[in-house]
Amino acid sequence: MTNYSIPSLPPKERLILELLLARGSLFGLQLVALSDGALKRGTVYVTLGRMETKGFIRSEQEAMPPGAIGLPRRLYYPTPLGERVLVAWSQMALALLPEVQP
Amino acid sequence: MTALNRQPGERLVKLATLLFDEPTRSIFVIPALADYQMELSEADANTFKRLTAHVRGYAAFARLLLAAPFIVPSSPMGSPVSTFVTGKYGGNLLLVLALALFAAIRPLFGWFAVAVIGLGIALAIALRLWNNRHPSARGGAADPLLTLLAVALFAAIWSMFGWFVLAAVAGGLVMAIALRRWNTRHPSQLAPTSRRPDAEINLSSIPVAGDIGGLLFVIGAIITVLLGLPDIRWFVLASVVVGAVLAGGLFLWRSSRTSGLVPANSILRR
Repeated sequence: MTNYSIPSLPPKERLILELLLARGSLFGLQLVALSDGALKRGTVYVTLGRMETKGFIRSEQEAMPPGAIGLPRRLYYPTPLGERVLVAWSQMALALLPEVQP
Repeated sequence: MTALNRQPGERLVKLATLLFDEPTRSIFVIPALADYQMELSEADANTFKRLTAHVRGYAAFARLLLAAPFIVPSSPMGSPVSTFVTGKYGGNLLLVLALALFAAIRPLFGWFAVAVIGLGIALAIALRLWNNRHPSARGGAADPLLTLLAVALFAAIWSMFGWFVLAAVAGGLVMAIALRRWNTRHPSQLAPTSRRPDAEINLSSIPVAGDIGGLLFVIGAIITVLLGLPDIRWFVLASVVVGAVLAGGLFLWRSSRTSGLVPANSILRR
């Protein structure tokens, strides 16, 4: 029997992927604001870090204008793998639980 | 730099430098502090908004502090604990739990508890700094979370066991050094020394082989129980005798049924 390592997609990660695919790219604080309380400040970066490790998203530091002060934020983007995983999980949910529309 | 032109959150950044390693800082902490600064700048002169931003920023930092032991890059990111901490109420629960624990032990132990916790935190920071500067060194024994836990346990059982705690700690240290020295001189497949052990609070996960190290471990455990609970000494001794008889019987039974195979935990055949 071949062992396949199918990526898992918990609800929080699914929500983040949906938001990122809808908007293209978002900062952590924007994700929290758009999640209607589902994501929390501080720990949202734990989830984002986990998703980046899985390859679902990528991030880069915000480009700071010359002379700007303060810490740079991180901007998060969905990856093609993340998009495929979201589509696959949505299809699987539809197939297994047709009464629950994703 | 004066207090007037200091950036908000600068102290937290310095604190984060002491407490977190670089990957953890750049992935988890700095973005959270950047959010804090962004909210403060957006609040402008509105006192209420500034206050809210301060509270949110410090709460997010406190939550990260509590979650840090579970989210460092070396730990499994998808572990149940990590999932719990990042859950809907996980971070808040941890914060409340920590405060409740402190409030509970403060009346019991007075300022002693505060001093011990302060000492533990200082020790944890020192260990973290040492770990950062010596990344190739074995870090299992100097894990800051484990150290904090050990200090907290030390404080919790002090009133019950008094100086026995110190004796037990000293005995444990001597035994740990003896085990390490023996393992270093007698490397074996059964007691792996090359793999960096994870910081675990699970005695069953500690690799103890059927060698002199395992024997020392068992003897130490028996002595600890005998010293701590002298009332049950006869029960413990009887258990040792019954356990030894059972082990001997098991050894003989396995020896009679395994031809040419060396039992994995055999002391006699090594």
